[in-house]
Amino acid sequence: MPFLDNSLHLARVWLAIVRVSIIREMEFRANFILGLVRQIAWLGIFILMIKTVFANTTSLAGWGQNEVLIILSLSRIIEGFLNTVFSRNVAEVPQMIQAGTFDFILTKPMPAQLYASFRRFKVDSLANVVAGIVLLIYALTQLPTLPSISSLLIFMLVSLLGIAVFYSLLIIVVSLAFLLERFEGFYAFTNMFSEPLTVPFDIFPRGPRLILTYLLPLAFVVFVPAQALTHRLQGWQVIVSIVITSIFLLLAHLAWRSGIRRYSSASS
Amino acid sequence: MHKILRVLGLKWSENLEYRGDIILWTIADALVPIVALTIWYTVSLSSKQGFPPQEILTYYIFAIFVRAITTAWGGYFLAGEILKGEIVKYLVRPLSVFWIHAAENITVKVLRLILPLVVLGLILWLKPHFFWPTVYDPRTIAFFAISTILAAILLFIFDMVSAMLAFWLEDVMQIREYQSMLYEIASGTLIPLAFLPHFAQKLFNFLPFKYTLSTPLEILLGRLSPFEIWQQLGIQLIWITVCTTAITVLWKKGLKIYAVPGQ
Repeated sequence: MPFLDNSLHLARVWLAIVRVSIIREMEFRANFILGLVRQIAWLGIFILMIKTVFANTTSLAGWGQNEVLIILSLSRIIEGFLNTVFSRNVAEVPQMIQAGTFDFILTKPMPAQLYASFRRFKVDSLANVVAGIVLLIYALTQLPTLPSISSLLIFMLVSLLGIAVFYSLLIIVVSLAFLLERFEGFYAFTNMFSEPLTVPFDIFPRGPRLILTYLLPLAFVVFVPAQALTHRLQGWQVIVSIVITSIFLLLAHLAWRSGIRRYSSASS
Repeated sequence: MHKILRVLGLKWSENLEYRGDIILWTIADALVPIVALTIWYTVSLSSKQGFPPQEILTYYIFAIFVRAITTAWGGYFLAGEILKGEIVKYLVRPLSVFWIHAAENITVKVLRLILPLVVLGLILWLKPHFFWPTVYDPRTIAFFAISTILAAILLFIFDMVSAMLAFWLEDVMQIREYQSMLYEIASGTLIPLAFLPHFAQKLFNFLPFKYTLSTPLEILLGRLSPFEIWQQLGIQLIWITVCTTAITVLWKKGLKIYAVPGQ
């Protein structure tokens, strides 16, 4: 089966990428450790922020302190995972387009979108995942009732869908770089996408909330999985997740294709 | 002066070419304060202590503008240029590298701010009940403007100081990540400083970040007495002096030990 062979081949390439990336990272050990410490410090700052919020109020748009901690921990886990696997690779694409080094991506014997996204495995972002898991376990045990097995399964499904949505959004936006030629602002975009993830979307007014659910569906990345863990998710939302994910994966594919067709290789 | 004007003109046309990028960057930059605004606005609606919603709204809307006016990125590029050995090209030019980065900083900001300032002016004029009343007091506005300009100078120079570390440290980019983390918390963006526990407030008084954002905003909201306003402006000036001295010393020392292989 050509499809299966192809996938196996890509999986082998990716494993090789992971190995090389870890070796590279270990060459700069001080930098690596400073990076880990920084992620823990960020988590500390966010916890301070939540503690300060709840020193002034008892609920944030209907979410209690431990439930907000669940959102925070999920945002750390998912963001850490995304950064490790692809976000930071995609963030480097605009620079390569501007400098013309994107040529080297195109000449690799691998689909350009996949290679551009999964070129390096940024192992130093994993601290976020580990710290997030610790916080998640703590916050879950503080809840009056633990989530059931079925809600855990649904949580995993919507998390995977959320990651696919985030990937699509990044690809769609980065494709703009082919059009704009200089797109340093993309770096800010990756921050922009991860910034709202740490809060319950219920605090946004109706208009922005609808936009963040259907047009720029960041709600599916962290908020919907958090709803699944806190008995808030309704059946129809799972179906909406699946539909939105399919639409955005397709849009991402189209955007990238039309972008690459405009690529003119700046320097050569 | 003539040289500086010439560089300003060049940077203007260079940046005008990429206005799409600049608009997107502006929107993305405003997002941290916008998210913080929604959090603290929600809090202020439900709690009687702390600040009234109107004051929080004013704080953050102006925070977006003060951040846009003060933001500095020259240090990031300068650090990169030092690490890669590219600063040699500036050493033979008639104008110091700092002025070139300053020119870039100013032209980009003018481009960025034209539209948002018009929008802000319209809202201020049409919807006065949105804002905390001190926003309309001319004396307050004057002090706010002075403090914001000092804040912009301070952040630009401080950002350059941290870039000088690239002469000695290879991990300077990682250190700069710490710098931006400290900026978000100690400037009063994520949490207005008045909400913080007492020890944290005291601690942040000794860092420069507070004087790049919180100080102008506190002046604008009328939270400071006339004496405290002068005191804060004084601290801003002291920080500017300290950082300028640091740049001069570090730049000289750095160039002495600097080696660019192969150029």
